[in-house]
Amino acid sequence: MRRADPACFEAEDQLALGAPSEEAARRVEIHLRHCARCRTRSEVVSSVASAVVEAAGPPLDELTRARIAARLQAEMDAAASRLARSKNALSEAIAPAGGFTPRIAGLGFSRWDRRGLTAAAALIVAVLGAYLLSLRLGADAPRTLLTPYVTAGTAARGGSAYASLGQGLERLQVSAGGLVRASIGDQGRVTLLGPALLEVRRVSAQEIVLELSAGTLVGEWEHGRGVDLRVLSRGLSATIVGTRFLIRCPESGDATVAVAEGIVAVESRGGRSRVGAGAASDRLAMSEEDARALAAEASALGPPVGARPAGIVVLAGTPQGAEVRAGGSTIGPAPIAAVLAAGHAELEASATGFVPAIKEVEVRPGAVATVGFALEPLPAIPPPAPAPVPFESLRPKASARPLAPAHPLASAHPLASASPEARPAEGPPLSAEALYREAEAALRDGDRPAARERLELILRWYPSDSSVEPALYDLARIAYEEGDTSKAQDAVERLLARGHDVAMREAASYLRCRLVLGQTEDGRWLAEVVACFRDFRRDFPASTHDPEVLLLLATAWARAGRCDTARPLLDEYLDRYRDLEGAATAQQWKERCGP
Amino acid sequence: MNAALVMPGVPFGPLRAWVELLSSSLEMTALSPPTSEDEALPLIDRALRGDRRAFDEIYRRYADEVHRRVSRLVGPDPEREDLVQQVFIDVFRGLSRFRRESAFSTWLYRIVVNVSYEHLRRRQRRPAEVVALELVERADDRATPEEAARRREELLRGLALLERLDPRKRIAFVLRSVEGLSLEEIGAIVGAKAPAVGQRVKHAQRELAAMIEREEKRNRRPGAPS
Repeated sequence: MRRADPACFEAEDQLALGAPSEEAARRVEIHLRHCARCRTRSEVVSSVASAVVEAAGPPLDELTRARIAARLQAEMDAAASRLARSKNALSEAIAPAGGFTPRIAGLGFSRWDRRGLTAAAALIVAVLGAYLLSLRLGADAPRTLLTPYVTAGTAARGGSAYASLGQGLERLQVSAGGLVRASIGDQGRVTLLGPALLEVRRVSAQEIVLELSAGTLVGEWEHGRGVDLRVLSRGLSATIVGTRFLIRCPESGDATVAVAEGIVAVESRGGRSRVGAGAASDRLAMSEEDARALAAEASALGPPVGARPAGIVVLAGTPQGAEVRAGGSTIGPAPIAAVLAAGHAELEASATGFVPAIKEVEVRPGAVATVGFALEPLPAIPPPAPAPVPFESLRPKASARPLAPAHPLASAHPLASASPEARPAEGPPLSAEALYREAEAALRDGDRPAARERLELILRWYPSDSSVEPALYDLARIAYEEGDTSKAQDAVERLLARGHDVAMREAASYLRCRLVLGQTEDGRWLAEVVACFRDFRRDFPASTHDPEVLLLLATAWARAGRCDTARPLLDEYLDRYRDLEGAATAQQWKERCGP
Repeated sequence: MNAALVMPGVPFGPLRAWVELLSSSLEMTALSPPTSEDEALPLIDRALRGDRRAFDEIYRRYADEVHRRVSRLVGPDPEREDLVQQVFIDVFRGLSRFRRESAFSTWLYRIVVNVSYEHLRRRQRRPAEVVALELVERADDRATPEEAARRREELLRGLALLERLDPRKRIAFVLRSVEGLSLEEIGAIVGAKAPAVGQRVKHAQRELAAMIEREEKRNRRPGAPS
């Protein structure tokens, strides 16, 4: 028993605190050989410690890092704004009290100073009392009720998804050319077109007062809840009972109001007036510019309540500016944050000269999901082979079936006549080699459908022919280029299951790893990438892809925090491929991993 | 086989692109290794003068390190991202209180530990959460399904045991047995004397071993599931 054996105490101490000397370490080592209980304890500690390391997960990816940075930025902005407000409030509170300056020297205050101090103290007490009273009576509600939100690009009024972007604010500021949309509680929403500044001045059970100091405000306010919206701006106070309106506060001159629906009561230097639909406070009919802004925002203002649950998907990757589509509708260029209805969604990223990629994502209500993509450039069409290799010399004679003389395709040029309509319903009219040559020519011409058709005929008509392997590979390539990864995967697996040709197996194995690379980057992804490239290296040690694969393998391990595994691979790369451009990358990772 | 179509020797562009992507992300982190104190202090001075870019730089330099440490302290928790954010908010708010009596990294580590400790306490009060199991298979060797399952089970068991430890002991255990810090270093971070830290580590190890013993005894009982 541990309690009876002092050596167990020593072992426990060493496990927790470390060995004080080599001799002590040796003593405990000998003890552990004989004491099963201490050995178990040591193993438990070691296994839990390695579980901690292993379960810690991959390092921060760039998207997460950027997302945290953005949230921190917002937090710092809010803190700076709070600080500025509290400073202003303090200076305003002190200024009316007489502008006194306490004389530090001698610690004496003049009579006027004392009066000032007394007045300031009285004011502070009065303000504090009023504040406490207002708290007690619940006179004003918190003013943080402007909640920025985003909508889907196709959102229509009363319809599509929208998602809140966090906590309410009491101040929105937009720089030139910028735009922010926010809901006002659950009764209205506004769009602020920059440069603009909008602040919440007062919130009570009867009225919400906003102040627009600059810029253009397009708003929508729902009628019938007993709460009015009042917007103060330069030389103007507009009371909105329930309507769609626009208030423009120019750099100079008084603000104006234009109304698209309902009526707005306006109080300005010119007196009181009521502005109806289609009119403006300074003219009978609203300007074209105001009408355009109102019309543009009408389709973008999201419903504040009763909206379909939605989440935000941040899509970013390479190349930048790739067009992103969801459910058949274009969202915009990447990187982009899209609001999508909750549930399963398929996002397609495409760019000229790249293979489109489809990413599947589960959108959770109110949650932010990030999806990365790296579109792969379309490979160059292979140059036409100068002299096609005669297939008869490469294939067994049995497979080289002659053309059926009676068939119309047999006497004509393969591509000129081999339209799907002309093809017979059954029976192999062309040899595998001829079909392959046609597929080859079609690929050179960029006609993938025709190539695929002929390659599939090879599989159907000549399943045991040796052309099946290149046909499968080409089918995989075509599917891969068309973004059909499952079809590509299927062709690659079929090829690897039957492939005897080493070069073909190498190409297919490489393509398989490429397909894994293109998959969703979830937790298993890294393991699969690593396993695939490791197997590739084992099976094809002399491959021309080895430098890339080795570097990918090493950096993948390093990124996963497994420097112990990454280090020898990086060393191997630096030893074997020190002249390649990847050597600098390998060296950087090596330094990062440490000795 | 027709070599014209297969081109096994021609490297694919995207793979190269991925290497470049890795390289570029490396460059970002390679420029910002865990910073020495000499390099951190001017940044802190600038941040204290209200230079927002200095704080951005502090975040950029230390984000990885903070994330790694938080991850080890709280495990594969879905709220890790929020915790990293909280750490930097605390740094931002408390930078003026950093007196330079200790290294900046120690001060930062202290905040990491405090944030993690509070989170572990809150988590203990909540019902057990599902651990993000997919992480467990992240870097698996994929040798055989049996081996993968066994490793997964070991990992889960290790995490489950840790979850039952008191947060103070858990933190002491991780800092000592995983991070390899000395008792004095841990004491400076958690605000305790070295002997007290030693006791926490010992208790943590003792409790972990006892939990295993209890589990094994239960499994040895007749009728217990094998």
